[in-house]
Amino acid sequence: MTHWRELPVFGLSQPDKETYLLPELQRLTRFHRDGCPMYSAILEARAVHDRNQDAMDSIPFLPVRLFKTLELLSVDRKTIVKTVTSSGSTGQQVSRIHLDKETATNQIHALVRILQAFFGVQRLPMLIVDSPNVLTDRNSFTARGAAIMGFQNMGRDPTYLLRNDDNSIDLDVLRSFLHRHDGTPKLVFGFTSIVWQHLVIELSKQGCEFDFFDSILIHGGGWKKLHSMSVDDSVFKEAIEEFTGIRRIHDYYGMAEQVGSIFVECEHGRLHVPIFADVVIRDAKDWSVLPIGELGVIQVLSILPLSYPGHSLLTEDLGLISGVDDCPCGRLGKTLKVRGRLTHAEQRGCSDSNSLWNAV
Amino acid sequence: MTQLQHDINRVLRSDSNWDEAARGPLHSPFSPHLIDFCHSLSEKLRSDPDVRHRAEIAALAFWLRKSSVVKFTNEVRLSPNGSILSPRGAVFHIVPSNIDTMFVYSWVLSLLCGNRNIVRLPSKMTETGESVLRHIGGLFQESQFRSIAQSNAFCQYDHSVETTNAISILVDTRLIWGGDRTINAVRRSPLSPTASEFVFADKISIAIISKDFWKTLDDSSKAELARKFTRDSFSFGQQACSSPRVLVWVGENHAEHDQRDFWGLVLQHVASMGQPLQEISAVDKLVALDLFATEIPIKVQPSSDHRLSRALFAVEDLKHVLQSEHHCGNGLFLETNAAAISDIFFALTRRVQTLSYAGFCVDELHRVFQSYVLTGIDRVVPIGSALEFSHSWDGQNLFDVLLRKIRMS
Repeated sequence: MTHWRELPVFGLSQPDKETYLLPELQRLTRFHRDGCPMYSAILEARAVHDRNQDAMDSIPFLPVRLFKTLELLSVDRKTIVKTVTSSGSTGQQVSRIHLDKETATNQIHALVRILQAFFGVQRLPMLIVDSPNVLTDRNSFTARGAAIMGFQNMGRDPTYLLRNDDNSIDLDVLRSFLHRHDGTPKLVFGFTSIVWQHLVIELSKQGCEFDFFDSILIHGGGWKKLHSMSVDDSVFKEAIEEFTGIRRIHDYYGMAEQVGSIFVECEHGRLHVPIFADVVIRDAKDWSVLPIGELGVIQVLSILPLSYPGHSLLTEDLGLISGVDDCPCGRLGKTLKVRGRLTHAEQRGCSDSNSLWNAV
Repeated sequence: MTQLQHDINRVLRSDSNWDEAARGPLHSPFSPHLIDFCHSLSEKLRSDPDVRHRAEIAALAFWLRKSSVVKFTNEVRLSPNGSILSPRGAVFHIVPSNIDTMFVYSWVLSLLCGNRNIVRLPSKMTETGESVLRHIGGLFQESQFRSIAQSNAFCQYDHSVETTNAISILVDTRLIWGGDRTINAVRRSPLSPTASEFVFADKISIAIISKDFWKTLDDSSKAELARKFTRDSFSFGQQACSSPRVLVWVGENHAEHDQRDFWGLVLQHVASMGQPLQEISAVDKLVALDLFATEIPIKVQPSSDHRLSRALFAVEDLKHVLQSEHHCGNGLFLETNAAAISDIFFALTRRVQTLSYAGFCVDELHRVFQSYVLTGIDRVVPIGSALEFSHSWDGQNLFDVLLRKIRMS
């Protein structure tokens, strides 16, 4: 079987891609069931058997939230080399994802392959809109740190723009970085909300202009915070262009539970699913599969996770398939649009976690 | 400011007003103007086109009618056993957010006992809750209820320990309607040495149906039982502690076919209630079932409509299921079979509140229950009555809590 690293990241049509992915995903379901007793018990309770996993959408999925309460591992704990945690807001439980060497390597390779497919193999000077603090412990990463680590492999002269103590922008660092790489394209990377708060807002307060030349901005991590400030994609892009001159702006969708498997936005505003991943949109009513264009709960599939049963996950995000093998940019496979998160509409949620005072 | 908001603020009173309420006039227990107030509130609710169609409002309005109030206060009014009834003084109610109308029940019982009241409302009120508040606020403006308005305050505040401390030290009785975290948090605020406290911890409820009985029912009786069960469990998104979350089929026979029939009927009633599925609760229930699956053997049942999700488990694991924190409500049922009622007694710990039943006669239940020493279970009621509020709750008579009895001999 061809290894995914030898296949073009966006070069297989959806049917070919599924022919390639399905046996891999089936194998992973068996592997995790054999290696992870809790995963096995869950499949048993749901009466999931090998014989009824004959299509992409019949691969059983775990709700991502399980990783917040359960320690799900499919390999010997001794082989774990690093742990990624989700970046949940204060007070919330975080997911803990345990990676062995092979899974960690998979993630880095996957990320590099995606970014090379988008931006070429040349290593560009890299500006990270974050503080170096994010990476203090090399064995334990937040999703933010894991993304930065991954992206660093893509760039040279990685430079952190924010100060450690208060996340404020260091304009001297910015000036000297821009000066060092004057006249060359650069890669700017950061979390969407941090890019907005600590780059866009701060630069808008400066009188002088900063010339980023022909740079590329890659940002991800979700829109929840910005939407609460009424900043949407077009406002974001306009503001970036106004204060940095950057026009090549790419959002990406990814999560701590499937690091490496990111869906990057192309020049036509669609998020592209890479060769080693797939996406299915489901109806919350009965988890049936929704057709192209219909809004539902996003399920993500990836053949990267080996050390934990995370190859098929039901997210708490809403989205739709915007097309299959038909993006004007020429990249093949499914494209996705993310439309926010599932939330509890009112306080009638589960127990104390959602309500101030509950149950009589 | 909208009219609604204006009225609510008026009724809530500001932070500086609660201490006035705590010193306001006391009333004689069950005096006629207190009962009139309840009746007036009932009339307001019954004539409000925005809310009167809601089941919980209809139930509340019915409970508040003069004839109803007279009836449920009879027991305590008419049999003081040579004692004189007197209010406790000031009562601090900390009410839950899961049931819109709960605060009214707690408050009205205390009001009828003549107490002064400070009611801490949930930080977010539902529309139904706000409507009730608006009507209370309206009545407070009427001259005949002036003295009631002076000694009753409704407040909302965030987790401010200072405010909880300040109110707690002033009052004679504190009622905390859960959950466990709120109880633990509020208990850190001391009460005056002469004050008392009553709490209602997080609890879980269970229903039992006799298999033989179900088989004897005709179609319309089956539908009726399913309707009652649905009302008990779905009225407040299954968040009320008395809503059943576990169903036990009792009897020797195999009843898988009957169980499918039952749930089919339940789903029909759920659909007719017209409440849409919240997508997040479909995920919540998936998570809950997966968590159960990692601890005990369960069989998740296929669901064509996630407003209803269920799983089978073995009765030996009943105690585990009832102790678990995984259950999230919103139409999730764990279901098992038992040969006899006595097979479930081992699992009825302090955490279990209501057992609702169908197909058993009270005498029979009485006999069986009496032959065991049970540590749990506060109520045993027919299916369909699980949500009926009573002044006897969680094994405590609220009138004993809210009244003083002066012994005289």
